[in-house]
Amino acid sequence: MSDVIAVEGVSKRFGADAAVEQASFEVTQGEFFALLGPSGCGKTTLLRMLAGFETPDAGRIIIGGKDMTGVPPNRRPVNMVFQSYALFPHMTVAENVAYGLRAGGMNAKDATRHATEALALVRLEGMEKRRPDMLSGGQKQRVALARALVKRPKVLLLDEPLSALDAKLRETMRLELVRLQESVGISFVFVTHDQDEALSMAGRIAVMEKGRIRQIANPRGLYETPNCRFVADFIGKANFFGGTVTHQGSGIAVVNCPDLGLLTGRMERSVSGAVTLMVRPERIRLSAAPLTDDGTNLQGRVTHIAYYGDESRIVIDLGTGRTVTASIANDGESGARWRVDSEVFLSWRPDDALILTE
Amino acid sequence: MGAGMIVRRTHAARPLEYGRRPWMLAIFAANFLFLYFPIVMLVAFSFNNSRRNVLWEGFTLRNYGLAYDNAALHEAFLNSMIVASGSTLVSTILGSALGMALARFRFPGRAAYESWLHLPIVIPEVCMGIALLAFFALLDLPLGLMTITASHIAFSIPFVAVVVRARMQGFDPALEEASRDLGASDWLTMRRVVLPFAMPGIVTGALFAFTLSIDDFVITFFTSGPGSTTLPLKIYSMVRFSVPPEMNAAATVLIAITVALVLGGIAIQSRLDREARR
Repeated sequence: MSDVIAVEGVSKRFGADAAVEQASFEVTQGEFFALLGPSGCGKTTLLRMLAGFETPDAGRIIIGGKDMTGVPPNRRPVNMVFQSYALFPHMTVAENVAYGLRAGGMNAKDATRHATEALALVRLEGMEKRRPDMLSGGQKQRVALARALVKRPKVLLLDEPLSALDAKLRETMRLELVRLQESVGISFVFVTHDQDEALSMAGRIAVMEKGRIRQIANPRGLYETPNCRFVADFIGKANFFGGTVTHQGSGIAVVNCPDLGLLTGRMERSVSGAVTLMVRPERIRLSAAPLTDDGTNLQGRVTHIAYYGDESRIVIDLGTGRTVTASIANDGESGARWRVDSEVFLSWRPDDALILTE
Repeated sequence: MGAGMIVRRTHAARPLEYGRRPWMLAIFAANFLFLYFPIVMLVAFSFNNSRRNVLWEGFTLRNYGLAYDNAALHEAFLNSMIVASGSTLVSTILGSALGMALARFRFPGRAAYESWLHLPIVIPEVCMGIALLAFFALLDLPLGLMTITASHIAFSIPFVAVVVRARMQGFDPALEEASRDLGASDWLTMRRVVLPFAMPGIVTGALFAFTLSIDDFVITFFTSGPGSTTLPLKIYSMVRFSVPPEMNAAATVLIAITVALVLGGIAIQSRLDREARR
């Protein structure tokens, strides 16, 4: 499939601050692409450059095969769903949705017909005559979606579209957005700071930190094979152990960690010198007696148990002032086994830990 | 513990509940009387059947006929309407543009510019009158309706700008971006999104400008010339020695026009406001 968006080495500065540095990525036709990162990482600036509200200082933005770097927003084949929805308060729902078509020169009759169809697509039939302030947050969101989609853009840009909704509605809207994206087949570029949102909706995710894209991968790739400590820490929970590589071979490396001894983990490529070993909490196995297999075995004492309903997170002191967090499923068997101050053995298989070089 | 006590007691009078405190009620009544008694008297005596207009001598509509037949009053009224319409039109356009610019843009010297903008509102009218007179003399402009209108534009702009700016402070800039994003040009965005939002502020500003212009005396006095007497100037010149009852009639008509305009403006504004917020 062809790329509908190609961002090539785009940079943007605001005064002395670099908002986006050397960002490059492609979005393919029909893809659900997320820009994920903490606030201030430049993800919104990048989205606004795609929409045309900001001009890059360097690099090129190609949309639908055409260089759109300096083209104003009203002449780009993209449309945006704003964080605040930005519905026109003095227009009805139908007028809001028809606005873009009318601005494009369509006659009133056709514009109304298309607007009605778009509203049906987002399940807002019968709301045409309402004013935006008579709608709930979720309904406003749908109007904003219909208003952008009715223009049949090459790419739909969404700026934190779910952040203004309450938690329960957010869950529903995630599924709804994915359904909508699949039914219209338009590429979505979605900005969020919420990793759950990105992981559950996007096909691919670009993780950003301080204006730079750190990794682009699918959700599983990001979670299981992060390429740096920042991504590992930002996506999900992780335990980190610093050390130096002593042996390596057949995808496995042995790391000598001061005061813990030798730890093993898998490596993506050949490593040497100072590295960080990362283990996800759910990959740590807890047992009352040491397990005898080829993995890493450590011993500690439970200092804290946090109960989350579906799982519990157990904080274990390894005796050197270093703590590790393990999570166990509350499936009725393992959930109640550990108490604060229990002595516990923890272990992981080499495949369950990852060696990070950055 | 104190529940029983609270149930029996009504709440204490709040600071501004003048109805609950007799002395406050008295001040309120005195203020009301002080403000409106002269106006009530003026209107009442416009129906007085007496040439000397000091004692009530019976009801008549004759004074309205006299005022209507007074050609000089007619001309003054026409002059006032020309000046007020012209200055309202121009100051509303310029003041609205200024108010929008101030609400929306950050530019160097904006704070200083804003302070300067407020100057015509706060400086004494007589100073502004002298300044404008000196300015017109410097340019060698003949005094007349043009100079009066220009002066009224000058002192109305800040009022319009302040009102429009206050309105635009509540404008979400994302609305403008949304319009552009949907393919609208800057001009269409202005016409379909920004102006409808600003309209209640613009109407209020225009109303302000009109009422300020129609009853302005001081600045008009300095900047008027031969043949450009406005209604307030004319009324003043007619009442310097005595108050003929047709003056009461003319003033009553002026009050009626102003009140009608204000009520009309409020009605338009609340309708626009309702539409904009709905």
